[in-house]
Amino acid sequence: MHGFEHLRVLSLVSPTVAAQNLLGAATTLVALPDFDTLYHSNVEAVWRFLERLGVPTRHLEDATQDTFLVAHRQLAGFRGEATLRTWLHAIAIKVAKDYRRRERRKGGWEELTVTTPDPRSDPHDSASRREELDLVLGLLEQLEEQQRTVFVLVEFEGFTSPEVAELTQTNVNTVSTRLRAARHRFNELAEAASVRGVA
Amino acid sequence: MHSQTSSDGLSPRARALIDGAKGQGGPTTAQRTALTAAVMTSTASTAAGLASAASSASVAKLVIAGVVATVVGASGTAAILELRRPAPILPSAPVRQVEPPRLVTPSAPRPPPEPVAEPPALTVAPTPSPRMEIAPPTRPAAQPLPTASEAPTPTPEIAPAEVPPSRTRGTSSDSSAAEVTALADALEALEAGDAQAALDTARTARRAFPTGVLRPELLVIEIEALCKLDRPTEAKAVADAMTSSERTPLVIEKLRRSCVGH
Repeated sequence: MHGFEHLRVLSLVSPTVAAQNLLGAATTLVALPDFDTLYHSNVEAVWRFLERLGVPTRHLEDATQDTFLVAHRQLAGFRGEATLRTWLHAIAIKVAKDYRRRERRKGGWEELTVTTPDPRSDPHDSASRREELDLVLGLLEQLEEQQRTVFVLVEFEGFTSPEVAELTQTNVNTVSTRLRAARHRFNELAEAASVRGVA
Repeated sequence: MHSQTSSDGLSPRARALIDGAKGQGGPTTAQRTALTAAVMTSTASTAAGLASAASSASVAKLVIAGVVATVVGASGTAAILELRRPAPILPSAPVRQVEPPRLVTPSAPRPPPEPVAEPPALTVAPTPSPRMEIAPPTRPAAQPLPTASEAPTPTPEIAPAEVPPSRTRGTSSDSSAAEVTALADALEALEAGDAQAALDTARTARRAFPTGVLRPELLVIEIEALCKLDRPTEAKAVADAMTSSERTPLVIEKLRRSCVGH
């Protein structure tokens, strides 16, 4: 199951907030979830998405909070032209980009998940599963940023190329090019990791 | 390198890695609890339509008190120790007017499709510091700096032995609420530029609640206040006396940005 999945079906969320939009002569009734529902249904998915986009582990909590604070401010203005799922991803992408940019400025990449022992020590987390995730995060880290974003959106979040084009404000051809390049590179990295005996 | 790829362009090995990583990760229970407390506190304050620093601080106290009662009662102390300050408490915290994603505002002009070297940036960076830093934006009146002769000898007000190994005592909802109120008062004083009052409040609260769940937060305020008062040696002494259990990641981050630098 992909993250943010429930947002595909707005009827599943609590329509405690309803936004009625007048777009010309057309009237669209958009049922929005209340913020609590939005938060609790997506917090883990947002966290994972930010992690896959390369937000350093030590900033994941802040970045997730930022994403939802932005969403909270913008929720009332949500007009339903995109799905809430897409909209929330778009916010998270911007937040992640900003964190990555500031991390690069500080030269703090050495603290990224890939090279830093994960401070989380949830006993319920299987160590091997965590290692597996860390390996993938390490490979993702070696992708160019825009390729990585497209790759994560498609391969982990289940978006289609047209949806990614909308999310990243580019065109489908560009998305396809980046995705192809990212997949090719990821294949190489996975193969290399296998040769080294870590995958 | 990779001899075969599927129709989607991924090799079986790459596909297996991705499938294995799907759904993995995510916040721990403690992280999620702390995050929820911080988000709900911030959004609740925002929803209350706070306009002034004074009113926001007052409401934030109530909100935080509720959060503390809930969090402490439900999840123990770990979560609240990581509770970040709700943004509305800080008049200095920039209201991050993040540009709404263009895709939900089709009437807005879209940028040229490609290249997208710099997608629309957040108008105000979502830095973690606004919620974590306690420093006020302005300092109305400079505190008199201590002269060499009156510079206090760095005598740590705390000692590791003072802290019991467990914080499970002294965490009743009453004491928690009082501790939160004290914390909010200290924060308010610090934000208002009254570092001395912040220091006094934080120290008094820390002594009143030696096993309180907000002890690390109070210590950080104390350190920040000492830094503001240009008493870095004392600040460092307080920081050095903090136990490892008090040095949560967020506390460490705060200390790192303070005058003690660690």
